[in-house]
Amino acid sequence: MVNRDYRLWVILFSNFFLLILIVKINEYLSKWGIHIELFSLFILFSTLYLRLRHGIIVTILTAILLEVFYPSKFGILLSLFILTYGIIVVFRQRIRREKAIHLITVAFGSNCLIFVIFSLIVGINSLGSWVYWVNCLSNLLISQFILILTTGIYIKLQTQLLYNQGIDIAGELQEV
Amino acid sequence: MLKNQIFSGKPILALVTLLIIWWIIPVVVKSFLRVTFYEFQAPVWSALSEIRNFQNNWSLHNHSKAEIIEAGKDLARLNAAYELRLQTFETLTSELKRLEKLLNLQSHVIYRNEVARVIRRDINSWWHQVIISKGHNFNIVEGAAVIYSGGVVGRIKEVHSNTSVVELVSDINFRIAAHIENDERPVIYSGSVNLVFSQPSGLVRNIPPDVSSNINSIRLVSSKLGGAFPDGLTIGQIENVKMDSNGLFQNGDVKLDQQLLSLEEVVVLLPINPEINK
Repeated sequence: MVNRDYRLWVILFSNFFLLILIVKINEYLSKWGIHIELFSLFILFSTLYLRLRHGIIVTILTAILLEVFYPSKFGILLSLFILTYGIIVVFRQRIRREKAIHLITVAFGSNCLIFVIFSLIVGINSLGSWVYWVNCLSNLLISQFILILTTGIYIKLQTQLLYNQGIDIAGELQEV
Repeated sequence: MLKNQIFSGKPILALVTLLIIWWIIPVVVKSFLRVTFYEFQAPVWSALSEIRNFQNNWSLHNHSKAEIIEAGKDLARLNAAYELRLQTFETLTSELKRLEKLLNLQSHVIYRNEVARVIRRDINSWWHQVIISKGHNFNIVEGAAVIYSGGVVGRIKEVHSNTSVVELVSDINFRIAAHIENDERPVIYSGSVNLVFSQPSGLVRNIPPDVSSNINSIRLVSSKLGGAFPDGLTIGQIENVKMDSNGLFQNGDVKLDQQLLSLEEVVVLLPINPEINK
C-alpha cells in the first residue's frame, strides 16, 4: 500500500518556496541595508495544523534548510525553532486556528522571540554597540509589519495546497 | 484529567529529548548534514541566478538599434584605452621581472583571475556575506581575495563543490592589514555594524598621529602585508579621524562603496605560486 499522504512534503516545499522568496526580497532590500526575517512563518503551519511527528520533522528540516547558509554555529536556529515549536504546541489547544488574529498573534510573538534570542546569541561581539540594536530593532519592526500582512495569506496558501492534494486540514481539525 | 496532563507533557519531553540528541551528536555528523543540505540547495540558487541573467538579457533586447550602435562605439573606445593600458602593463611587468632578476629580489605574487557571479546575498545585522558561483570546481581556495571594479570585496570564507562563501569587507568579523594611499605605514581595517539606510562602513585603527585629521577624505588601500590581497586596492575612504584614548594612534571610520551591497559579479584572486605568498 503506497502512502499517499504528502502533507509533510507539501509543507516542506512551500517553506522552501518561501525561503527563496524571502532571500530574493532581501537581495533587493540589501541596497538600503534592510533585512527581513520571517522565522515564524516557517513553523506556524507545522506547529498548529500538523500532527506532532510530522510537525517536528518539518520544523527540523526547515530549520536545517535555512541554517546551512548561516555562518553562525550550526544548530542555533534549529534549537530555537524546536524551542518555539514546543512553546506553541503546549498552547495550541487554546489557539483558535480559524481566527486570523490568533494566527497573527502567535506568528508575531514567536518571530519576535526567535529574532531576539538569535540576535543575542549571534551578535555576542556587538551587544554593547547601540548601532547593532538600532539595526536589529529596525529590521525586526519591518519584519513584524510584513509578518502581519503575510501570515494569513501564507497559511491559506498552505491549506489550499494540501486541499489540492486531497487533504482537508480544516475538516480534520473540526473532527478533532 | 491526569491523563490529559501527562499527554500534554509528551511533546515537550519529545522536543527536549530531540534537543539533547542534537547537542550530543558528533560534530562530524553535523558537518555532514550541513554540507549535504548545502549542496542540495546550491543548484537552486545557481538556477535562480541564471534566470535573473536570462531576464537581464531579454530586457536588453528591448533596446533600439541606435542605442546598441552607440553602446558599441563607447565600448570600442574603452577597448582601445584598455589595449593601451595593457601594453603599458606588459612593459612594466617585463621591466619588473628584469629588475627582480638583476637585483636577485623575491618575486611578486602573480594572481590568476577567476570571474564569478554572485548567486545569493546575505546582508543583515548579523553578518555580511555573498555566495558566488564557483567553488572547488574552479580551484577556489579558502582565504583568497575577492575584488571588483571598485576595489576589495572580501575574502573567501568557505569553499563548496560549485559555490563559495565570501565574507564581505563590511562584515564585523573581517580584518585586514591596510595602508593609507602614498603612505606605506600599516594600519588595521575592520568591518563594523552598519545602520539601515546608510552607506556600508568599517573602522580603521593605528593611523599614525602625523596623518592630518583635517583632510576630509583619505583613500585606504590594501597592503601586501594582508597576505591574500595585492597592494593598492581601494578599501574605502577614511573619515572622522580622531586620536585614540592612549594618544599614540588615531582611529577613524571608513566609508565603503555603496555598490558592495548590490554586486552582481566579482573576481577571485588566486595566487599562481602560493609558496611565494606563504
